Amino acid sequence: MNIEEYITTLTEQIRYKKARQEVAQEVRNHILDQTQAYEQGGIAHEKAVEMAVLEMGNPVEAGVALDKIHRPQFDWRLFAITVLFSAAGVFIMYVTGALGSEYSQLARQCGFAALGIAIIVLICFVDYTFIGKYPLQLYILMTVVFFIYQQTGRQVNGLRGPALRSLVYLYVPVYAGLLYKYRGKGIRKLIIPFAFILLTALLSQSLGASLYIGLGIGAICTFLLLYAILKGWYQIGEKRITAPALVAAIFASVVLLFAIYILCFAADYQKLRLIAFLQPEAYRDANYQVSATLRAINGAQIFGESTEGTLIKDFVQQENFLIFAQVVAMYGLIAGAAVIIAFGTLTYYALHIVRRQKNQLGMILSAACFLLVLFNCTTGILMNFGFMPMGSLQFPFLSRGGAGTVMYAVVIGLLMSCCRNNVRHTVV
Amino acid sequence: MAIDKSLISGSTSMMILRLLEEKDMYGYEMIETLEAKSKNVFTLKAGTLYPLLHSLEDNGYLTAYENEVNGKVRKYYSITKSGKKYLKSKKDEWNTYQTAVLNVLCMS
Repeated sequence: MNIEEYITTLTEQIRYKKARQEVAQEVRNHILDQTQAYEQGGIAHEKAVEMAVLEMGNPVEAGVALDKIHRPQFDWRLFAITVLFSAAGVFIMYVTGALGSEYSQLARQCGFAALGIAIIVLICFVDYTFIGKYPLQLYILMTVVFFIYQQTGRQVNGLRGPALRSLVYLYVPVYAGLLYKYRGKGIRKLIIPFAFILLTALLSQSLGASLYIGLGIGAICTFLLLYAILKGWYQIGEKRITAPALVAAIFASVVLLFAIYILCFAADYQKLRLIAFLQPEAYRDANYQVSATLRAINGAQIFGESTEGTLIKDFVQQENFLIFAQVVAMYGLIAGAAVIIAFGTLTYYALHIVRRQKNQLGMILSAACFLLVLFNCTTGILMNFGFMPMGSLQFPFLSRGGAGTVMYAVVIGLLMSCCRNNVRHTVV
Repeated sequence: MAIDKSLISGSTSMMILRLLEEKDMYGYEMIETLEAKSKNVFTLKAGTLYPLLHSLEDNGYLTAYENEVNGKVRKYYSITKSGKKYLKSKKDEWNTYQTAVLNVLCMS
């Protein structure tokens, strides 16, 4: 039996075809090393190969043993917590009044939750590598679809677009694909990812009709680029500039650009909201929503209703992320802590998937999904406690309506797909 | 000296983890080192080694990375924190077993 025959027989036993390439390369190198060792001992090449192959042992037995290990994995734990949290989310939205008081709204939200779970399963079985293969096409397609919807879609509060604003967050995984596609050596290669951060932030702001969404997506993409740099993608650390210094420089310049953008382009009411956040005493009227939220939270008890009463239901229906303050105001601090633990659990699972990724595309894509969940959960909680100016945001599992539910379902589905197709060699 | 296979199989993962505690290695290097350290008592077949390595990696006891050396892309394995913990528990288990066997063999 020659080397290739041995490898073919061994890899044929592995039913999960994507794992075969990695195994074949490792086994081939092993046989070549063994052959070389025999040749150095004075054995002729032909004989050395024959002996090296024989030394490997039975290819079928080894292949069968490897087949048991290399199986596409369905992450049952993540799926189970997703189903559980989705059901709990609908329940919380109903009891806090975020869905209104009509049963039809409850039924509608149950439908969205079921749709979300179906999307997760569907995406889990899709091979995520297409995001690394066609990121630019996906980016353009998304932009065109969002643009058409913005021009023709339903109007909310005089604005077109807000109905789909949560879906705009899907630029983040596509940006991960762009980072992967256009990665390379040297600082010059950073121009494209850097330009895409700015473009994505502008597009998200415009298509999602929200300054906060634009800035949020820009920030998540920046963190993702910094992560790629620290992972050594651009191989700049060994030269004059160290990777951490570059990370600091990029972060500072993005913050500066965003600050300039807010000063030049933000609407007056947006600037006022910022100033009001910085000087709460001087702008008490502008901060009505914030102060009402803080009052409810400050009066919160360990169990039961806040001494300051609950929030007006209109608030929670309008600004969905205030559902957290409403939970604390209605049911106490323990209930709020439970919500934070649930977000923490989801984020932890996402991080676990990132850390176990064997290939670069899986790593950057899962990191994008992890950062998105982490960023939205953290900033949302901070907004509720008054540590950040309020903006448009939806929590995972607590998003009223379809867009937020679908967006998070796609994100969790992608994480599960990364887990399922976790092989070292991706063919992109 | 030929050793009964059943004695070896249970302890192979422990020995592999112990080797990797010293430094990161690729598969062929592990077989060579194991042979040298055990004075040719343990001649591990590659067909046994790789499924074991892949399963240890799958369990999170090892991580692997690729490195190009002399034109060959080698897959190096590295022990993780939980791998070190697992090795310690395996060692303790082995010591208990070894002491028990010795006690029986030495009884008068």
